[in-house]
Amino acid sequence: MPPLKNQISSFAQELTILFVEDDAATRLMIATQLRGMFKEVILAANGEEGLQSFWRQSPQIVITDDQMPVRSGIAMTEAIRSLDSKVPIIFITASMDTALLVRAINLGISSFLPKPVAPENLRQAVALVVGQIEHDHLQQKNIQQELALLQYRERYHEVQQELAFRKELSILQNDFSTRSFGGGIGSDRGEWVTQVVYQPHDIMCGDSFSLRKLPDGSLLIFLADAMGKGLAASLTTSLSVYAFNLQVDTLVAGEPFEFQPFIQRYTTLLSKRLLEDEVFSLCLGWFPAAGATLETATFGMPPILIGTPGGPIRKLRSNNPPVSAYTEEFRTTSHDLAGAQSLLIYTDGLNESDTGDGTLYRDHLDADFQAIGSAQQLQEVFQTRVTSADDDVTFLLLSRVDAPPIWSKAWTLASRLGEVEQTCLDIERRLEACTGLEPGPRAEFAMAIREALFNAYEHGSLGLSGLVKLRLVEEGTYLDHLLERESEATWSIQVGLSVQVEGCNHLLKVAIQDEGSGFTPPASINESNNLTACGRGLRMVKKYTDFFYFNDKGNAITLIKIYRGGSDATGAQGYD
Amino acid sequence: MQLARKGTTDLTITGNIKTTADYLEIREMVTAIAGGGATSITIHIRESLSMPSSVIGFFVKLVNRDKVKVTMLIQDHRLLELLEELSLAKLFGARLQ
Repeated sequence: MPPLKNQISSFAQELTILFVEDDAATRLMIATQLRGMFKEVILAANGEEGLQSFWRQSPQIVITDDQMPVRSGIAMTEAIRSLDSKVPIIFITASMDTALLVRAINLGISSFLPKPVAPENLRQAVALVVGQIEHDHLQQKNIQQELALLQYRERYHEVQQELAFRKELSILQNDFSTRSFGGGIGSDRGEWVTQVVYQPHDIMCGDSFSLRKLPDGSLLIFLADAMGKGLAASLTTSLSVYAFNLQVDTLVAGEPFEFQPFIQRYTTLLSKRLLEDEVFSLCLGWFPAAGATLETATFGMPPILIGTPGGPIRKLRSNNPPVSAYTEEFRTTSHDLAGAQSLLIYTDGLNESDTGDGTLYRDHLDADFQAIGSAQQLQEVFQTRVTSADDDVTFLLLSRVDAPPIWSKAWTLASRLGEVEQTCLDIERRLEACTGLEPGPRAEFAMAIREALFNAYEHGSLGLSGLVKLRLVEEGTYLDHLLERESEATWSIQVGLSVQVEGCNHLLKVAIQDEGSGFTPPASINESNNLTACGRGLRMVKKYTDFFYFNDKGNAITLIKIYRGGSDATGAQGYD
Repeated sequence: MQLARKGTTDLTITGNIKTTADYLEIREMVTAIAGGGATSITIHIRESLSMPSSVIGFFVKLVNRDKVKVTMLIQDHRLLELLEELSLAKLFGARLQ
């Protein structure tokens, strides 16, 4: 609030004032008045001195006479304005020269004081200027406080959202993220791997998934899309996937899993908690432990796609409307998976996304699904066609990985550093024949193989833990320790390199198995928790392969790289 | 999206059904028709090739709880395909116009 007339705010006690006057008596008299009001009063005898003082000491107010030797008040004001367009300047003059006054007004002079300066006039002019400065100061302070509050609130919400998203991720589960499913001698279903792409539109996502290994060894898949987007959808989907996981966790080992009663229990629980106009799209798919079948109960979900080698895509349509508060009955369907090579289960954020050219991604999905070899490839091609998806996108790609190889080579090596190194070089040389694999990805894949092979040697064969390795490396005795330990080692390492043809892709597969006791890989390799040197190796494997998986014991790892190519396998064949 | 009421039980939707505002508008209009005592409503859907889940949820409630018979006469085959894929075509009495 501006001060009352002639009343100078105590705020002046925080300010510095510059007073420029060539007449010593006047300078002394006015300076005496000003000293009681301001924190500091700077005096100058002419415009040049005044300008120097202004540069040096940056006063908040200037009072100046005009007619002075060396440099006039108006000339000093012009020089000050070239540096500072805002500092208030009070101009003292005996002249009524119109040209001078116009010039002074154009320079933004705050007040004019006639000579001789009456104490009351001075007080009034100073009070006005101090009031303006205080007002500006308060306004600036308020803006800064509001800005700080906004920044605090924004950061607060950011932190809340980050926490909520971490929480969301923590209840999604994939028991098969580093494991294959099925396989084994005589398995008519074959060996499959699962890959998940989870691409939320907002931090709070309406999609959720869970891939669970049941006590009988079978695989139960959950993929859901709650109505709408944002917070409400996220709350519904999070509670739903949590309830699903809880129901799975209560299954008792040794008791046969029954799909129908499981779904009945689950949908009854779910429908009780849905709002009257809320729907919940859900896919539950069960791969029994034996046999090449898939049981589904899908509720208002887009069709599941099944790819077969060289054949048309099969589509499994939803067999139920979305789950709602009125859901009482449902149907399940059994599908024969004989001959199936890949399965795609997805939420409608994938197929209903607008490509921007008047079509939806569903018009491209079949062709893209047939062309890709990994979930990451499908995500990349989707993102090329749909530049800004306006819904959550989640899809699960299940791929069969046990097709007969068109070429293969196997090594059995003793647990010796020299042999491990030699095998790495041999594999790298053979990878060069895969001309469809670009040099960059080829070198990366070779790096992943090297990491996996050294893991098998150090940890599997020699039994070195990650922490011990870390300590030995720090002590500088790591290599000596390896050589000493390997002299007693009797276990061997099996390595297999093969090429399979999957549709229009080649699948390069490297399987490494040691005779060690195995280990339990972390649920997510992305977790930045206490990963030791060994953990870093696994991260590189994840980074440089399209996917990888362990056997149940954890002593065999398979690395997969997918590439397109026609003569690559023939080239590789040339080695044997 | 635009809505046009025809008679006491018919509603025509033109343009793409997409936003929350579209959902609210449809809900308001259909609720008004049902509130007027209609036991069956025919929705003519022109142009829209998709339907948001919020609109689906509203019609599921209308059919299952309020026992209003819904018929959807659809111009774009892609929307009918979608409803068939979601196992909703029968519930909504959906067919091509």
